[in-house]
Amino acid sequence: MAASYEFPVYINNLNIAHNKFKFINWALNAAIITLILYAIFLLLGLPAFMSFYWQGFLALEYLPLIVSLIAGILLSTVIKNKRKENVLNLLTPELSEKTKAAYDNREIKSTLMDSLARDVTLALSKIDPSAILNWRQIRIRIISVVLLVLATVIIIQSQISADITPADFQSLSNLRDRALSIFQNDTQTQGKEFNLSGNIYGKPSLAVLSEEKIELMLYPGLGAGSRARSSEPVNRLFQQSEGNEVSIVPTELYIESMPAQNREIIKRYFELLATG
Amino acid sequence: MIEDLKSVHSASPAIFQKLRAEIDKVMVNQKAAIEQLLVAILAGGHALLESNPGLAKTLLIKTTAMTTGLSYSRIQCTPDLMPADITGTTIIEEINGDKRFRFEPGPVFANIILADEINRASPKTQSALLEAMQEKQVTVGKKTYSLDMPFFVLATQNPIEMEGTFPLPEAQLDRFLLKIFMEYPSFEEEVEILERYTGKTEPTVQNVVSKEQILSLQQLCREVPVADDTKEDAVNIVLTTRNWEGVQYGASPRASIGLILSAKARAFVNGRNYLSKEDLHVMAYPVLRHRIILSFEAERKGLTRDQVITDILNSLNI
Repeated sequence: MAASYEFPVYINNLNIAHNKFKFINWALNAAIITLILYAIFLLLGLPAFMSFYWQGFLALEYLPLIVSLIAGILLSTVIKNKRKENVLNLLTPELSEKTKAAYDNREIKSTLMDSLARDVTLALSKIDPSAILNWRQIRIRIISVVLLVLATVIIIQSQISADITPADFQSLSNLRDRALSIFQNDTQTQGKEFNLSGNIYGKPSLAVLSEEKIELMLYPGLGAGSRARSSEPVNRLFQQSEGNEVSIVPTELYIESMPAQNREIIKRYFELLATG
Repeated sequence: MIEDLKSVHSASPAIFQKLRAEIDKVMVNQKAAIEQLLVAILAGGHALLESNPGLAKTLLIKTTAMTTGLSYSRIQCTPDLMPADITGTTIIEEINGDKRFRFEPGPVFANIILADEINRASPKTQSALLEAMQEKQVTVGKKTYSLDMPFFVLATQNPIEMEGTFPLPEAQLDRFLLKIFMEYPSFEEEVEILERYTGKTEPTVQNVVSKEQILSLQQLCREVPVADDTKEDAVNIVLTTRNWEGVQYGASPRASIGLILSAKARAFVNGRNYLSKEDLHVMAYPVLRHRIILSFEAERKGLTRDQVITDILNSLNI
């Protein structure tokens, strides 16, 4: 005989509350893992590196952030799946055993089952679903998220990444160059021919000065131009140089490039400009 | 029938209380043994009581039979006891000069059978009990007779004086649902025994539960709901006995059935309408102790079967 008992409704209510709790837990875990990973990436200077080299390519420019986010979601999901927590285990041991026995036999109609169903219904009706959940766990996670956000902001603001030495990027830089050499073969060939590449960050090159080998390569963040630093104004002593006489020397090339009928006009214009 | 069961269920706490009170009039303490004997009766299984002589094994069984109002017979097992002495025999009867065969039922035709010192009976006679215990029927000649329900064989044996005995084979031991140990009484308990049994009158008991009530209680006992993970725990306990270091032969699937049935009965006797892990823990000892055989190394180390069961339960966190 099919049985219909009241207690599954209460178990369902507990389950709904527990699922919400698990989702909040999952989201907070994902946020914590994402923030920790991103903070590590910041300390390694990866976001600065990626945004320097891949500016404009959104997916690559924000790769560290995207990787942190995906890893956070994945790891949090793994943790959630690993902890297969049954809501009935959160009840007191006696009520948990009773409820499990009742739930697993909910299709059975018998004298003992009727009696058990009555007991379980009465006990569960007195339980507030939110009361059995471990809200302390959630509070700790929220505090952790806030602290990690603060830590990340501090890392970003403190320009820790600017203190990374160029050598830290050596291996990454080499990788990038190799990638470029594969994908930009044609461009590089043209660049060599017309000297249009403008790539001052090429492979390391050496110059020998007084029998000392000096590396000529420029790294991002090496000096001026990479990042502005606030500094006190410095009073420098300038020596006034004497003015030299201006002499106008028209370049052959320039004159030749002008239309023949306008040469005299332009010449006069510059003479007037120099004397006036 | 459902209404009958409901009324018996509501009356069950009072029935068990009366039963215990009656048995307590005769027995001093031995709470665990009394509980396990009631469990065996409710689960419809047979029990083997083992203790040193003089610890009231026979008295406990006799008292239980008297309080339950079930028919009771006692078989004192000896090496010359024959199977027909237990099952009954066909005799020639003469009525008005007309001779005919008539079956004379043996002591096995009762609700409670006390097989006293069962290990003194010959293997042939022990085997005669086997069919009765398992099939709840007796075959004499070409005819099979069904036994009256409920039917329990409550056997006793003592672990000393093994000379001239026939230890029960494993197959026959497996047919006993429980093997119950009875312990020596404490100083205070022994003084109480003296008080009760050296006075003018000895304590007597009365029937407090009917045969129909016993049958209804047995039916209710089988209805005790069991959670799926508790069933899995029971199976795990039995499976672990088969792979445990120091155990040569583990328990059979009959042990799993026995464990759940006896745990259900224990829950019911204690007024619970669900099976708890505590029931499994408590009943694992009497259910398994006669179903596992220790290896020579384990015995040489002085391990007992109960110690092995404790280790198994601890390893499974039950």
